[in-house]
Amino acid sequence: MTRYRTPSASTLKVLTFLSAAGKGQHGYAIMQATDLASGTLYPILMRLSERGWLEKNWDLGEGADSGPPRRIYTLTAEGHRQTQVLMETSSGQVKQPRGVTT
Amino acid sequence: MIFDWIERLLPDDKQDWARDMRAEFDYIPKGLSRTLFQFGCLRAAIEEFIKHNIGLQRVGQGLIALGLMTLSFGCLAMAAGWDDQNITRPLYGLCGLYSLTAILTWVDLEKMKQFSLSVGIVLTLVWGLFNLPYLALSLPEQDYVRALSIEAAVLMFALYISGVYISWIGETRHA
Repeated sequence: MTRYRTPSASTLKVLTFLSAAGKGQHGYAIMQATDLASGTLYPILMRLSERGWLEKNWDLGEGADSGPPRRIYTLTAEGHRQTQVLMETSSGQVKQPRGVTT
Repeated sequence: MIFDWIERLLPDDKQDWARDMRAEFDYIPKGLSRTLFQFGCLRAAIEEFIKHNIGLQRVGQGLIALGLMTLSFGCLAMAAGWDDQNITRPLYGLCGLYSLTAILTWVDLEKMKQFSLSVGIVLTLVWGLFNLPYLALSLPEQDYVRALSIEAAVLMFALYISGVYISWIGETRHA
């Protein structure tokens, strides 16, 4: 079984937000909701993706006036499971990201 | 332009980071947040470059060695201001000790850990010996040497703990 270091408070914020959002989110939306800078957020997203907790897909947009493709990040089933475990073990330690109600 | 630097800094297996960040950049509103986004991404790329090409352990070793060399030069500079050999000799001794520890830190972290722990114990014993009442009569500048020895002992123990921590970082990053 693979063991990981305990996730940081910033990682927990990202996981909590994505878990509560229930659908894929763009990088900028996650930044705004969690108050994390891009330099903090992207390494977290990549680490979670490498662990298989996060899935990233291209959002190609809809319609002729849609912009260029951008990434959309979604928690995998394993990511949801790990988030639940982490939230239970660290309840009260993590501030809820903006826009998240439980 | 910044995203070109980011691409150059990131290793091959992390090139998708650069692509993802560049793609998101197109959607960041104009103004300060756009600039902050770029520089945040650059910071992340620089950190990744250091981890990948140099290694956090090596950076830690370099910083400790640099700190020790600074202390060593500090001791030399202090010694230059005194004529009394009872004052200057211990300072030259510390200068040598810090320089040697700096070299060990850079060359072999394991040996530095063993060395700093051993020297820390010896210096604590020296400090203890200088606290014996009958030695006070026979050695010049006893309080001064006692103070220097306990300071150096504390530093050596701190170096040992730092060495253990840096080793741990190196191990967990490679796990």
